Amino acid sequence: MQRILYTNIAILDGTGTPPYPGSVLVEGERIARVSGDIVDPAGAQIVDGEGGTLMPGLVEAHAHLTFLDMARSIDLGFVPPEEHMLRTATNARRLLDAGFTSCASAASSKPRLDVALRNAIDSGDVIGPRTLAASPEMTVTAGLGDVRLSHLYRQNFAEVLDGESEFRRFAREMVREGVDTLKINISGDAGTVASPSRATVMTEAEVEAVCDVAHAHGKRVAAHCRNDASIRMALRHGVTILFHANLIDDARALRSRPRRQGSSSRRRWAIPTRRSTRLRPGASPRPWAGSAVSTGSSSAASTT
Amino acid sequence: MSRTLFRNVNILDCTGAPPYAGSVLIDGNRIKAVAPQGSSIATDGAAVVDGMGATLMPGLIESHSHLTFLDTPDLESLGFVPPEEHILRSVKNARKILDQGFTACNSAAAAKARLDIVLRNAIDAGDFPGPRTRAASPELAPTAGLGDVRLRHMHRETFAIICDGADEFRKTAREMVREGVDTLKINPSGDEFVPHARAHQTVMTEAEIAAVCEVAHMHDKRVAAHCRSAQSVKLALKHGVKVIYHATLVDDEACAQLEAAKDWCFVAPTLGINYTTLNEAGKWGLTTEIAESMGVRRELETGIRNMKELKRRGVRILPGGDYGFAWNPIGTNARDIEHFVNLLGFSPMEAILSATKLGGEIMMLENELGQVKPGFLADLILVDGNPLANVAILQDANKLLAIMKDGVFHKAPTAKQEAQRQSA
Ligand SMILES: [Zn+2]
Repeated sequence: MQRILYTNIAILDGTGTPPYPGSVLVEGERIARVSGDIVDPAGAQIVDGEGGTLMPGLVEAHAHLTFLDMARSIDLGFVPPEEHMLRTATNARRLLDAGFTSCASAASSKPRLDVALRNAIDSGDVIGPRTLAASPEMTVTAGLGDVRLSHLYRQNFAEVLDGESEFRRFAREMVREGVDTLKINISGDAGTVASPSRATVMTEAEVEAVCDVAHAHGKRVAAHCRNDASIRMALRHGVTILFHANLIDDARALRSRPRRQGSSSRRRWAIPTRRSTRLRPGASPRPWAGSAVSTGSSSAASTT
Repeated sequence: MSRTLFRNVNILDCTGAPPYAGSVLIDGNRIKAVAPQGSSIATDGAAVVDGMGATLMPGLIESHSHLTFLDTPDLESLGFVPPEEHILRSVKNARKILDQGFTACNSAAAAKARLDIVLRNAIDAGDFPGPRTRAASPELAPTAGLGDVRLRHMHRETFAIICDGADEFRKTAREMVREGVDTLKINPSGDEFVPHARAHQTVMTEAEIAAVCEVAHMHDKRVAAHCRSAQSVKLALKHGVKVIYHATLVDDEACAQLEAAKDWCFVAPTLGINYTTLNEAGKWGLTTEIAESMGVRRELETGIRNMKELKRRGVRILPGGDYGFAWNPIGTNARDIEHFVNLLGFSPMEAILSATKLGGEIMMLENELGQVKPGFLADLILVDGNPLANVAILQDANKLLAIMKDGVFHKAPTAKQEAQRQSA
């Protein structure tokens, strides 16, 4: 087993305690020992940190490794799957190079890209962060991500579905393909004329259908929710990741117990994405009691 | 622009001349100067690689590559791989073959419509390491031809696009031109392992062959054809097919026609796949007895006899053995050079020239690739040993001290290697 000893470092251990000097021994893929003293390095490769800070790799809570830094979301749709896969692999390496060792995807821009990327990273074929793979954004006609023209098909990062049976079937297809997370767009967004942020555009039955599938298969649902009603709808059905949550009326809503049980993680996460968040007075994206706030910036996307 | 000087190397320049000691200067992506020992060479500012007598020669060129094949034991398993995984695995193959000293590949078919094209573009853009590549279409084949793996009740697919009638072939050819292929691949004959289309059977109509060739000529593309039967070779030549794969069952008339076309057509027999199917596929249930019952031995022996005849007539014959199947995997491509020596009676020099000089010609870079000459592209390998004494050393990546493509090291010579060799 490969052993690496980091010495002469300040340890920012990510538990919440202030940094302290010491050494860290890694054995294989795990941290074996964290010590305020120098541990016995027997046989270990020694890395002298020269007083640097050793801390956990960064974790992106709202990753879009399949987005391609384009100004217009419709340009994503013009990229064929083969090129898209290769450019995604390049993105994965870029993000790891930037210190992000994990990514929770907030949507894949084609159905299988996140899944194929995650598997290729896990098998060592592609260099990138550990990844939880998401579906594309399941949205409704006229919702965020519906970029079709009446006379001409176009696409971006969304799968446009209408009615609970369409949502349920597509959610099941994505489970079959191997996603970790099903992404739904319950609210609209500032960039979407027909569905602004204050609009709640998915029906209760549509949200419930996706959540049903997720719970049946032990998957997680992540939801684009800007306004209060969409947040409450998500919470009613056990959505565990709320993206944006910037127009919430009363943050105490996030404290309530989810009505449904059986989700793979019962802790809920609200992630205000930096770039597209406009804060209202009284709606502070600070840690709410009972919920966790994580960061994510919707990089590479105009809206998500 | 970066400059590299290889000094103290034995230059196997693949013009046909015997190797000679000297130095080679690379400037940017081209060979700037080749200087035999004793003559001077301007070396200002160049990074110097001391070859310590190793052989410097052109990178190997695969004339029948399948970088999108995945070493499967059957055809239909290719069809089960989705496009996303398929392109990533193709990228992996590209690196693998470059690691083996192949700096250029002439594709003999992609396993899905766009894979070769996307791979070529990604390599050219520098996004992923791989050989320079001529991209091919999948194999355009008729219903019941080689590559039709559909079941009557269920769709399956492999490396073929099934077309019937001149119109369908023409439309598919045009689509592939639109996507950006260099080569259109067609399957006019069958193959011994296909029960419904055997090697001696010609299964595409002349009108179908003509339709694809017409599209190719209109758009300045090239057609490559899987032609085992004599009749398929004749039809292909008649319509200007420049790359004839296999040609194993040619008759006197076909031999004469190939001889007449020798200035513009290439033949690649693909000995590797026949050799390993006959001798090395037992682990996959394909024993020598079974292979013989399929006619593989007869096919190989007839092919060998015919290649000797075509060589006598001056036809350009190139190695490339359909590597990309379980018992004939990608990365072992240099075995074909040894097959040319052992099975076809080529001298080591002739076999190596067919994988370098003739390779440059099949890559459509006749005056730029496949030889160590001033002005040529700097695709080079530095070999620990003399391949003319033993062509098999080209199969050993450990013997490749350096691999350079387009003037850039894919594998740089290491100081450790140099020290080891000095002490050895
Ligand atoms: Zn082939």
